[in-house]
Amino acid sequence: MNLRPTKSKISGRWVSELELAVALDRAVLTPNLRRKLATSQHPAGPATLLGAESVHFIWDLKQSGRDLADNSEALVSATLQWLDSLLLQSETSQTLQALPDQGDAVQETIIVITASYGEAAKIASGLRPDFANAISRDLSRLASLNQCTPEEIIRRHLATTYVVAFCGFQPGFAYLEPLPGSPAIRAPRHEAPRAKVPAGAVALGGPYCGVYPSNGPGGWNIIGLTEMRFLDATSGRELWAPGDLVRFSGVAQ
Amino acid sequence: MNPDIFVASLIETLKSGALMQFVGRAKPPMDPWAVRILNRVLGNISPGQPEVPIMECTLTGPIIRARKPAIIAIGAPKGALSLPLWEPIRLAAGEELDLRNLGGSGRIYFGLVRDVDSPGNPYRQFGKLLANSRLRSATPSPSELAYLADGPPQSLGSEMVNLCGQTFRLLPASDRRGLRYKAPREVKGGREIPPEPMTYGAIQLPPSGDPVIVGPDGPVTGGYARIGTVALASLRQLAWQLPGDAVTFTQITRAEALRQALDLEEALARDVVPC
Repeated sequence: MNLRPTKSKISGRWVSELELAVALDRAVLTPNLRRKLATSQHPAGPATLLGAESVHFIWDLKQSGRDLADNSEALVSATLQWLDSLLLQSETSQTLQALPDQGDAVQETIIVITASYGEAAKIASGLRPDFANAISRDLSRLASLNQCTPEEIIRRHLATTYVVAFCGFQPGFAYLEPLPGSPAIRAPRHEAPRAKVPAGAVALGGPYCGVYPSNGPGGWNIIGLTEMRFLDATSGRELWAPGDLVRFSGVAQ
Repeated sequence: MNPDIFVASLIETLKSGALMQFVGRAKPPMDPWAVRILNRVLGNISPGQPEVPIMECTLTGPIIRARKPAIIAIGAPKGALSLPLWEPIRLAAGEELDLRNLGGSGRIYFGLVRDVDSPGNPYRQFGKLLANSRLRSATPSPSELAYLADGPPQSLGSEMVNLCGQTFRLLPASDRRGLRYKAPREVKGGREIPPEPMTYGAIQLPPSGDPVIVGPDGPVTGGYARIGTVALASLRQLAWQLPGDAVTFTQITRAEALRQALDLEEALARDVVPC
């Protein structure tokens, strides 16, 4: 079932009684829009969840179940119109930012993650043999897939500015997407995930980069290690949010 | 008060269940309705307040002994325990309850009332779930899960994946993060998709072809093709399942699934009667 508000390019599909999925082009989901979607809430009440190429709206059964049963289309239309207005604002602000000498340009802060790569990462891990093997294998795999040296993989990674596209997988994990124009790295996920990837592993998977927040299974290509964590242990709050810019700094060996 | 301290002040655990944890506040329960029914039965509700944590026991429960007079209520599927279910049980000081054998259910829930031997809360109203209430769920296996089929995911081409008419078995590698099922025959596996939000009940089809239902502690995003979602009213059956249990799927429309969920909401307000 496709539901469209009037004069809009976006449409939603129900994936459950209470959850509406809206597919959006990756190019439309700018850092600005991601930040807005993560921080603002539509007054009609559905919670917003971000995906790589989608936004999901989830209503509460107790609060809105009856309304959804009687008046589904009105709620959907209001929500999609709200999303539409955010899209429009985001397009407008992008146009403004593209103009030179714009006095009130948004000041972006960049999160810098210090990490060690390659041989330096092996030493930082205390020469753990499983980690050392994994990082060697993954760097050679990426080098051969991209027809370059392992050093070149790390150079491209360090030359990339990432944006927090969305959070997920585990608490404290963010999918970091390269900004357009970044050097390309092909990094398909492993067919079967490794049973144990150490906390702090810097890894590439598909189009994304990520830092594993805790020890656990993982299917991405490991290239480095950092001591930084992005989950506040006491409050449980994540220390980054969609829209934040991220760069890595470190030594490639 | 910290729920652990509160429970420890009332009962001692003589033999602990392997997996016991409080659910309902910080941790979502496998059975979304059990916590709410038990808190109504125990009179643990006050307007505007969140649910009081309830103990969720997986595979086996504890032996408990009341340190002082206590009131407990147990939630489980029909026939799982030879104890009254979904109603207050008075325990005298020193009395023991053996909850180790869950009688074929994968989980049980229990909660306690705090201020039994004092005048306590004069407004506390105990309740009892009606014998014929639809909230008394049926036996866990074989269970029939109603699900909402999603459109064909891009990664599967134009084919719809139909789970109906086949029997799946719950695999031992299942927990609150995900319930893994063995498909009865070769089911064409799904490829990866751009990660999208996942919620409790989402049915994913990994490359292996064996479906996974995302649990309440599951990842909040997932990159496997999502082929459908378990209906809200069927979620509680996931809590009762044991590894090896047979599961079948039936398709349901969204309108019907929403109506059933709202029926359960109404039953919650109607079927817990004062006692």
